[in-house]
Amino acid sequence: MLIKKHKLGFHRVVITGLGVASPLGCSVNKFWSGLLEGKSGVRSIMDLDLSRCRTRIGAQVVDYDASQHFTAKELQRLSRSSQLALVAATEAVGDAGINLALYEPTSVGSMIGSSIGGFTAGEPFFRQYFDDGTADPFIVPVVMNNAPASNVSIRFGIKGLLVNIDAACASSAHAIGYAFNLIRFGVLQVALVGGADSALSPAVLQAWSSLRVLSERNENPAEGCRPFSGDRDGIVLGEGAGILILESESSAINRKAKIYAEVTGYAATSDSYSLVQPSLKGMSEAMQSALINANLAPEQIDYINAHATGTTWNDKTETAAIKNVFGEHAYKTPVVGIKGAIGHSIAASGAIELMSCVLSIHKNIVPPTINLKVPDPECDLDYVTEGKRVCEITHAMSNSFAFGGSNAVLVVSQYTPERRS
Amino acid sequence: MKRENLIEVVKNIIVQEVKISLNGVGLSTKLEDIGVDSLDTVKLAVVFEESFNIKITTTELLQIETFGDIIDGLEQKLDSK
Repeated sequence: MLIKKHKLGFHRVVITGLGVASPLGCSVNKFWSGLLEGKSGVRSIMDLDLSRCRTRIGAQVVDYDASQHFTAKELQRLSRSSQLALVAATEAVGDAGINLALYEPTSVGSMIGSSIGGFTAGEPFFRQYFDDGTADPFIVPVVMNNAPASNVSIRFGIKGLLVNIDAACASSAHAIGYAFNLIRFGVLQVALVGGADSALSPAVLQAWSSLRVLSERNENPAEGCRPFSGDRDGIVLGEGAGILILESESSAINRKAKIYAEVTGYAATSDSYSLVQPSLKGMSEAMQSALINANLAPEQIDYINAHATGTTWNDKTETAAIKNVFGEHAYKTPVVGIKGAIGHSIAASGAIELMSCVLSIHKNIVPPTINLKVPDPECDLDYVTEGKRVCEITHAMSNSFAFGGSNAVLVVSQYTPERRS
Repeated sequence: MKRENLIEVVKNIIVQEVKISLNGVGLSTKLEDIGVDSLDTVKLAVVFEESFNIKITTTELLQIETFGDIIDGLEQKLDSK
């Protein structure tokens, strides 16, 4: 007998499975141990012609052999983003130990954000078109940005809500927030959520480079992205996928699932300001809204995972926004940016970064912010630069602030059975 | 082109483009039973058009169900050139 849908109401939402494909490794264990050890997954890009590009470094997923996961026929129809989504989703479903076939099919959703991956996947196809005027029939199903979510839903028999959420760098954080609300109110019982993206193709890199937002530390790739550092010079683009299994508390309890953490808050706000510049007001309002949604005071946040792209503007604006919202508590709260380690995987970044928060809560340890070489008086918080740090975390906040002014802030907490007021 | 030659050429194209084995495939084998779906059929049509210098209409594509349908259809077009 199928597990029937919940009645609409209020349900607590927990995280019971994690899966990742990252520049630090294609498993949660490799990703987490790499983060804690302060490793960098940023390298020189050797397999693309970047001779005309000022930036020749990126965060590639190298611990990955596609032929071990997919047949040649399957690979014809899977963009890099879709491949990474399926690898991460397979790990997450296995980690959760959940049998999705037992659920009423429309109560399980697939919400996987992808934003730039379609452009990356389309580049060789469009090159062919401009060369000889022909178009491969596979272009559309391969490059469409809902392909990662779609392929996951096909692989796992998901028949509930199926969407791609594209909000640039905030895509997967919004996907998680969207799923959180749908499960909270009883529309879904389970969701495979997160993001999958790849920004590593010649034209895409050139496009970003021409915006003058990319690091040009080609001679020292591992130290290319330097969040909060006084000598930071920009983003290192990358790729990756992070998939989390969100489910209602009752579903998790009934099947005796391992619970990593609880999703307790989500804020979605917009800057209404600029297509590319961050907004102090917008970032501040987003974090304040997340605290209200989680019913928490600023002093109750024990850890912040920052968006921290490594650009001059983002990192100083985000630091100022954290001080706005948290006051003196900002100086007592560890604030970590992990893009120095894994680069910026655009749509996937929010999910992968939330995953690091979840693991920090689960294990009571936070990874370091690497590559902070030179102090910046405008970035003067505790960025955990000495190495991994043991600390008890009850509530953590994860920030995602995107081009176009879309902000997503998530709050995750230690799960306790007693219901909070 | 002789029918047996055409069958050989078509089999090679399908193996190359669709990345499947055609061991044991006969004229009455349904394409969906050997993992050739609608997307594959569209791709094969593009390749057949280029390889044989013919045109295949959407209506003709929709009528293809078996390996034999492919051979019969191509043979007809090649004979009428």
